[in-house]
Amino acid sequence: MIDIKNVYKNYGDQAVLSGFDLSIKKGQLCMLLGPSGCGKSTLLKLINRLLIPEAGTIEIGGNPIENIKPELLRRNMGYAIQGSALFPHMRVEDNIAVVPRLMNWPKHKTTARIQELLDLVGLNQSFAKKYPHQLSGGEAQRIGVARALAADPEILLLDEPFGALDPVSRLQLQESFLEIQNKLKKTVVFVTHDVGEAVRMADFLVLMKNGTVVAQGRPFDIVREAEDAVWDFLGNSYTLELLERITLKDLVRNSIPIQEFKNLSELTKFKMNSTCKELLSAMLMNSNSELMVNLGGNVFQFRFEDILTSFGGENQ
Amino acid sequence: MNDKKNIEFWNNLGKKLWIKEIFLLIVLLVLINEFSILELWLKDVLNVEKGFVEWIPLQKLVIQYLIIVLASVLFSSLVGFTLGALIHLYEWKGLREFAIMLGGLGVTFPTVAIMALLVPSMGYGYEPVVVSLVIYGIFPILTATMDGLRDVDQEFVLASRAMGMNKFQVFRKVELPLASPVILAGLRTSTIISISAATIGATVGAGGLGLPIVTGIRTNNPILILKGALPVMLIAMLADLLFYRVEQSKKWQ
Repeated sequence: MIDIKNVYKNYGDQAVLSGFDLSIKKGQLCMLLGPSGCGKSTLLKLINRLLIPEAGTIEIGGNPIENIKPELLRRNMGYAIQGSALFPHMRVEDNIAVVPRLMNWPKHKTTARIQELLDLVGLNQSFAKKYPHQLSGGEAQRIGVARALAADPEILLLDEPFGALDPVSRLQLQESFLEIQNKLKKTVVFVTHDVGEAVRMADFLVLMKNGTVVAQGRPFDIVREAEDAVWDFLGNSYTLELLERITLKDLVRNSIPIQEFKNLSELTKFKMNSTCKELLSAMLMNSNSELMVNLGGNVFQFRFEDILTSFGGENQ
Repeated sequence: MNDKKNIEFWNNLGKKLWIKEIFLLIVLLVLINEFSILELWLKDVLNVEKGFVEWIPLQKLVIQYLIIVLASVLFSSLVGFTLGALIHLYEWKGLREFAIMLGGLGVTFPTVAIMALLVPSMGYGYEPVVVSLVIYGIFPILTATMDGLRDVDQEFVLASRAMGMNKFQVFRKVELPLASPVILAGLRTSTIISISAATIGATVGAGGLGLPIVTGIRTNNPILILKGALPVMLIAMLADLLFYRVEQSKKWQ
């Protein structure tokens, strides 16, 4: 869907991207992970032509972007940034309607779309009439995502969209965003400097440093092929972050609940979408590599080996 | 607690009913139409013996005066705003510096002198007054427009461009509304300057409320001075209140 070939970009004398190559498939959530100044935001701005590369080509669906009028190109790419940048003088509904109005949608279609999007990002319809200063950081960011999705673009460009949030709202938004993405299957380029966020969400993970790709691939593949450079980059707890991608639903696939257990209330409660990281954490807390848990009313026994096996399975 | 609520209630009601504005307007109208009553009383209090000259009616002076002020404000905001917007849109860096310099120079030059200098070419009357007030009024609006537009948070400009707005759409939908409080403050300054400076117009024969003031000074007649100055003061207060109201009317801050 997005093909970046041999792209060079300098700011003055300083090279930001030198010979950058990347190919992003349709429907993929591609996370660009890297420290500040590695060129990841620059790459986003090159894709929607806010910046023009010194050399190299960027193609969308096989069509070089310089053949498309910049305004039209951008209207077909949703864009959200850190701190949401909602226009303070417009109500939420008008913020969401910016791109549909630029594209001259009929009024009833825009109105319907606003309602649909508020539902999608999990906000009440009463938010439509609010001004951005009346929203919390998390709510504003949800509207930011809704605004990016407004004209139903094929591509989403997100530049640290959850960067300014507290850790709790941040997790909630990541979860909501993954749910939305599972429904809509957009081609997403998501820039972040948060290892946990990148590993948790990526279909395709790109590690960037000094304007080049250090490693790219599915998060589990990157672990398998791990080189020193990758470990230096991600830190040694990277595998723990990967555990967040395995849910208890994956673990119980082959096990049967224990029937004869009576005292459900004594057990730690888990949900089907709880992660292996939480399970491991509970094992550590109980100083036991075997743990009985209450999983939605059923009792399951998990062992540390189950986590190992399942991790190994994902890792194949 | 209850008292506080009460006060808040009456304040809000006052705002809704435009109490202050209407009160000032009534005072102004009464003053204009019934000045003779005040004149008699002032004559007693100030012990002024001078007889009254046949005067142009105060109503007529107020109307002349308002026309001068409104025309100057209209022209200076048109020119100042358009110039400021163009300088911003087309990024005329050199022109920005030049405009600020020229404007600064213009403001330091005395208004009376400009009026006097214009008389030989334009003759006596309201024309030199309006032209010099326009020259004065442009500067606050021009700088407010340029600075207001320049100081809009670039985050919003970037976001609007990334959503596919062209330069003019960014200007109309994002930059202009966000800069409007600053531009409005410039317009307010410009208007208040015009209101007070327009009285000087009487020295070059423009009439208006400056006429009784100037004549009062020449003939040492405090009643005449008050006859011009009181309505000017009320008009300035009214204008200030109206601007305040417009500034308060936006809901997004």
